[in-house]
Amino acid sequence: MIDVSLLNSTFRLIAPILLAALGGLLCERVLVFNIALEGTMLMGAFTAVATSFYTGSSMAGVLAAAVVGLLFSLLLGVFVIRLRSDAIVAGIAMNLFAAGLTTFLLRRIFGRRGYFKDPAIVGLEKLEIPIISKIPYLGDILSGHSWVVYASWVLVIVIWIILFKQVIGLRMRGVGQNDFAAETLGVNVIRIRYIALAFSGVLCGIAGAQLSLGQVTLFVENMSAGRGWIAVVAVMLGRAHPVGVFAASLLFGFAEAVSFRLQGMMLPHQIADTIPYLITLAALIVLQITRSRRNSVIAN
Amino acid sequence: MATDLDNTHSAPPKSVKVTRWLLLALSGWREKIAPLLIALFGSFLIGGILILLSGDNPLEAYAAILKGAFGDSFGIASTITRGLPIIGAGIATGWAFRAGLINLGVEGQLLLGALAGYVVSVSVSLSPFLLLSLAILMSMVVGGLWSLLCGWFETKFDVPILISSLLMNFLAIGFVSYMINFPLIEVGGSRSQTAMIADNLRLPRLVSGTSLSVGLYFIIGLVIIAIIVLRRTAYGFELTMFGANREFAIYTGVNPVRMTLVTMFISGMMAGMVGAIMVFGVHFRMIDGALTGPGYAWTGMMAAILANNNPVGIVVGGLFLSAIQTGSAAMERAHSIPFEISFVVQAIIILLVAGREGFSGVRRRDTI
Repeated sequence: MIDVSLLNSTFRLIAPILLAALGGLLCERVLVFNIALEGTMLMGAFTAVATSFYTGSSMAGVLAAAVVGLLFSLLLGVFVIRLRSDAIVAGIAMNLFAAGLTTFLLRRIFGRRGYFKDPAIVGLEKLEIPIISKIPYLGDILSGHSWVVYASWVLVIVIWIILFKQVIGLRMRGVGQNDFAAETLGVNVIRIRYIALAFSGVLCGIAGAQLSLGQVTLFVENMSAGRGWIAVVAVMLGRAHPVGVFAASLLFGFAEAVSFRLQGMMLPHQIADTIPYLITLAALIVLQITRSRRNSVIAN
Repeated sequence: MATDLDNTHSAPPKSVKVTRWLLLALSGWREKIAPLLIALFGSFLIGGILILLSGDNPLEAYAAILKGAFGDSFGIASTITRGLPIIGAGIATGWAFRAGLINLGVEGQLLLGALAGYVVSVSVSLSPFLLLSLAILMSMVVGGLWSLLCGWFETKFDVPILISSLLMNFLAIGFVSYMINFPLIEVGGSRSQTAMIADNLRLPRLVSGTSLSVGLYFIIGLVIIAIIVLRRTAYGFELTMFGANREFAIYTGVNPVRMTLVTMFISGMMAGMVGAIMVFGVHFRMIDGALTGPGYAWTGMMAAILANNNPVGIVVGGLFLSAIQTGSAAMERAHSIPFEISFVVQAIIILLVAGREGFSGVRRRDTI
């Protein structure tokens, strides 16, 4: 059951959730509750496929997805930060907007309903890491992914450094702990929040690109399929810490890999499809139980 | 005090009173209706630009939408038929939203309710009227319990309803799809659907040739009950207060656990009833994707947001959104603009409504 190819697909499947969760983490750190990760990812997925189809370059697809993700996330920022809309209502609205717009554009640009698949869409290449790919087992698990997957691992470290070793990260954490105090100390809270949202948009856009160009080479309506929400849970589970978020994403990636595996083996896909959501919900409940136990111990 | 002073001294001239009243009315208008109108106007403007960019005439397109939704009796019947589940789901969503409980799981609750009603209707033998009543009751109970589970996760484990309810949609969708495709699939059929229910279990049609059934009365009843409970009962008042200011509500004696559980159960029951109406009034069977594909639950949620969770507003908003969808389908037949433009226009309306506090200059409490 658990073999090398299952672990390999785990590492492939965590990338979109991990990238989106890293974005969500930054928002969480500056107290912007971002539930539009889902929609931002979807916009990225569509943009990546459309750009790759017209330019014949997967790199252009990823870059375009990052730009669209950035703009989409900043639009959310205008509503939540500038207009002070309710973060939940605005997030839901952005998700619906992304679903509506991508469905419309799929129809308008490509004349398709449901999905778009074409040989002209160039997917992300699988890269072998020079030395690691030679190691037995480990090579098969870690090597042979797209560069976006490797980048997502590096980004865990980069975001850790930004958050804990850089001035901007200190300011972000300051805003998160007490935005009023941070403001008093001369931190431009609004700007910090926009920066966090911008980063988050780029990460979610790339997450979408990995979804539509890395794991498959097509666009399906609503193909983010709740992964943005799973990323929101990963942020909670990982306590908005890069390493914790990575661990949580690993769990969800594994759940997804298991679900794909079971689909081919014994379970009908309708049931197998629910496994990642079931695991996510269960993990969240377990987390909250342990958290409340710990709190009650402290209280006693 | 102020009125006493006014009476003992000189009463203000009538013109001042009228002006005051008018200013008061207008200020309310400015805060409530104006942002909504700006949102509607803005979304049609942005939608129009999108249509223009894709090489069509927005005015012609909008005229075609209007004609398709209200132009003839068929259009009106279609708008109402599509509007019923939207309004029902909107009331269900709005019920929870009004109490500040973000129930995003109406889709799953509706679906499981529909399945439960169907299973009862094909597996129990009773007189038709009793069986239909039992089936609809089961739909409501199962929808309610699925929703109650989310509420319990929040009150017991502090798991946000917002997240659990959304994740549970995927569980319900997978399970119902499995049931339709495997245990319940129509024997000898080639599609992903179950066998049909008996003729005497179907809700009668109101207008022959359309799928408008007595489900209409169920929805009207639902709206009336919602209005009465919200306006005339202690629970309804407490629910509104709980949503407006939870700490204050708890301070005045509202039990937050009970309020959350009861409200989630009722919200899910309403969703389950909508599922039953669709099965017994429209499809007469379970069809894979027929309840999720058209996005009734999500459009209903949009109506609730649009109407700020007011039942009458949800009826207006639901019919309005239904008209956009029905009209767009008619427009696609006449023009080259895809039906999906309606999804974009709707989403922009909700987005602009979400920013309405910002537009009207009223600052709400810091929610970020």
